[in-house]
Amino acid sequence: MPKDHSLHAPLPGDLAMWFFILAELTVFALLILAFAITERLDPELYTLNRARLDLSTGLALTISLLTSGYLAAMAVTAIRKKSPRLGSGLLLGACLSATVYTTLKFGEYQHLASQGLDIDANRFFTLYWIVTGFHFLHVLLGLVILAFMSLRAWRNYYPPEQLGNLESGVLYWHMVDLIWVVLFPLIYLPR
Amino acid sequence: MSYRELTLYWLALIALSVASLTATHIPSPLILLLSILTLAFGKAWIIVDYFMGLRSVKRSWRLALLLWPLLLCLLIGTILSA
Repeated sequence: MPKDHSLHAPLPGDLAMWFFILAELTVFALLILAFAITERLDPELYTLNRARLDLSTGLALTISLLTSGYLAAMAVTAIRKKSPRLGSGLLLGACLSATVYTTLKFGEYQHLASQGLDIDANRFFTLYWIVTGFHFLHVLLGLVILAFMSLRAWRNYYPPEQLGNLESGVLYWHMVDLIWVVLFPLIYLPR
Repeated sequence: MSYRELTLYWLALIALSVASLTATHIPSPLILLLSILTLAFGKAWIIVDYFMGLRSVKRSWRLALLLWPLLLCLLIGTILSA
């Protein structure tokens, strides 16, 4: 672990957002552990059904989310440096990258449903749909937040000394990223 | 956080993601599981410290956010390797 610092920077965003993030992470932790425990109970079923997911799609989903998070982080830096228009463009880029994720994920859902691999297919797909579906809803909400913040940044509504709302919105998006980096290996990667 | 630093961490995240796919070729199931969980924690660490900006804030918040992926990866590893 990196060493402690005696002079601490202020916590980015609003305190309420951090408690919200902790609550959300707890809910996702329970879902993720449910997935792992049920896999332990029937590993063959999970191996067989995991093979029906496309690994390259999983990687593309990961890269699109990480790129979106990167662009959102860049946007905060740009707005801190008094470049709201650049920040707005970066937030729009984050939206576009997130749209790649939603398009790919929607395509994957359609493909699986057409194969009869819906929420009732078996235990693997029941948990797959619940966990990734819940995450997908968070992505959709995040997309709306990013688009809203992009518009506000374009209109210069974020003075550098009052970035709490912007930071909170972007923190929500990083939480979505954080959850995905644990979900991705558990759901997609064969072992 | 500068643009350059953020870009480097983003590239590291992409590299770790690709590495986790490459790791699926590891023949030993246990080493494979440990590898992909370690890579997942590495990505989570970068997101918490550099994208969320918790590296230089009060330690309790940083620890709370880092404990989430750490405990989860440890629990997943324990459950699936038992």
